[in-house]
Amino acid sequence: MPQGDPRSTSPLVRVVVAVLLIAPFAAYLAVPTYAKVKPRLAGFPFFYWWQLLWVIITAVFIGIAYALTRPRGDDRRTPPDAPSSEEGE
Amino acid sequence: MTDVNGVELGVFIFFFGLVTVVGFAAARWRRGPTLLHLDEWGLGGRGFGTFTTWFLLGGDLYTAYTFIAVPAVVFASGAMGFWALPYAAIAYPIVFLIGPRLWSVSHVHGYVTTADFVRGRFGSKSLGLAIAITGILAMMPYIALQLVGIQAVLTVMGVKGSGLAKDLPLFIAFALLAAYTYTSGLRAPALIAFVKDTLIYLVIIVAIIYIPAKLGGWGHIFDSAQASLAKTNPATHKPSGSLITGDMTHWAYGTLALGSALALFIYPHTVTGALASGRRSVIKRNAALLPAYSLMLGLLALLGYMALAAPDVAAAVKAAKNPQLAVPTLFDHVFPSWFAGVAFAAIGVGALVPAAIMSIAASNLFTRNVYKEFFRPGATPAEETRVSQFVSLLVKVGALVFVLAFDKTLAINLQLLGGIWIVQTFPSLGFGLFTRWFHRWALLAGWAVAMVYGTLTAYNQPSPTQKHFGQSIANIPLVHHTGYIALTAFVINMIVVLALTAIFKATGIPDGVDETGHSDYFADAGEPRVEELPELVAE
Repeated sequence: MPQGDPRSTSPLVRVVVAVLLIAPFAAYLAVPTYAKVKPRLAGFPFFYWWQLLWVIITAVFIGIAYALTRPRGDDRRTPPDAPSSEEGE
Repeated sequence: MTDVNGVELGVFIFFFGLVTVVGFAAARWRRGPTLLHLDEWGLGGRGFGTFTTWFLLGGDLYTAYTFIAVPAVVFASGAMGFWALPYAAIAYPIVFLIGPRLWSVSHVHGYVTTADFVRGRFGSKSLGLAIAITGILAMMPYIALQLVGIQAVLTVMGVKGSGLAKDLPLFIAFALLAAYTYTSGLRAPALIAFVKDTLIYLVIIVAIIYIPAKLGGWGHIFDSAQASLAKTNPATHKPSGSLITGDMTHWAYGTLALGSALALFIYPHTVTGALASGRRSVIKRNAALLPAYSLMLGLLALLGYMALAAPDVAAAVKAAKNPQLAVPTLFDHVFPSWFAGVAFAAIGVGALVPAAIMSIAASNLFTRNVYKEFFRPGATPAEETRVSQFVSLLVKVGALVFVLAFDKTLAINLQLLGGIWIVQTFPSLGFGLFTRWFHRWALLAGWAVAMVYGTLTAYNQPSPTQKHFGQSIANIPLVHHTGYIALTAFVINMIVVLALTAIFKATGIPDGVDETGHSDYFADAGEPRVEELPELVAE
């Protein structure tokens, strides 16, 4: 089912976008890897500056994902198959 | 803090009143037939652009939770409370994935609430009802958290009493909120968001530059916080916390972050804010821009350590036995009275506005997806408004019950309890945006099982001060670590959904009819089938 945005792009780009979006989860959920005090940065224990740094990295990654998937060229698509308006139950 | 601080209270009332009056006056003054007439967000009634959406969603997401509840946990237990930062980061890849699809399908089919979408997608009124009820229920403790925030600020300013008047600040907060929502609808809160966020940014920037300088630098703050957290807590005979998470708390830390991240974008009030944006790309761009607020959240969380590092502040908060007072007390002690008043006004408005948006979102769910759907299909717009206003009052009374009945030792538990419930709508809503494979009855069964499991498990968690609903983390079956109940319930939910879907499909039990089509999930503004949703900002 997940065919992705019809306007979007090559499989390679899709893999890159997936990696960009999954990376923050991997970084943050590996809690033991950053649960330490040293090295400190400007007085901040590693635990804190590492996680604050990853907020910025997450934002940059999402920004890149946006740039890679934004519709280019003609913004207006011809609307394809009209949706059915049947209601169930 | 024995007496009322006149300067603080005066400045607080002045700014509070100013923001409120400006907001309401502006909303009424420019009221026009297309509702959205102001500057950027006018543009022919096309909804909000990137900039306004950033403010509106930021105002929705960063509330008393950020200013009061998170620093309170950090103050009380150290690193464990910092999970709010990973939460506020990993929520945004999820927003990036589900936000634009929800925007498109809602604008093609005229969905205003999450329950509208689920009902249309899975062709099931009952599933839509389940989503609506969950949304209304989950909003109440979240609103309760905002009331606790306002209460904390009023308490530190000296507005408090004993005996019957003990809860006076709380009732003032409640009355303010009721007045806010009853008269305004959504437009005034959206306008106020600009002023409020400017005020809040000012306060935060001053706080994270001025206070560390005054307390001897960040290194010193972390060191004294560590020393203070390592002291044995007389109630538990254990250290009250630590500067980094220990072996026993890694699971809790990660699951709290992930569970909250799943919840963030399916709360009724955030969906309302997101749908009000003008194009689907506005949401994608905001997924990259909103983490700027998360950075602020992280630094604000560290105010909890600053409160620990200032001996007189720490002593006062501990004497009051209410860690929610950590940030207000810190401001009260460190800032000159007039600036503390400004900061308190920022926190107060920062709690009231989202609480107003939340109670409107909850009452819209009731009016659209319960009242009109099941009781009065032919209700007139005037009747709908009346019902909405009445229900929004009921929701606030519900929130008040949560505040009074629940353990306030850590107010963040209120928001986490709401999270336990709302996450159970993620299979229908979040996954439902990508796949139609799930069977409607399987989704309903998974939701029901998970709601019962989550509520009962939360009910059975004691804390040192309360027998039930003491905390939102519990042992995860089979894993034998402590984790956020929302996520455990979510896994159970998915197991039920997957197993029953397979069984129902094999036995040929009829599924609902999907009224959405594949391309609906990619439609953008400018296409003829994309509707505007004026209901979103109407009263």
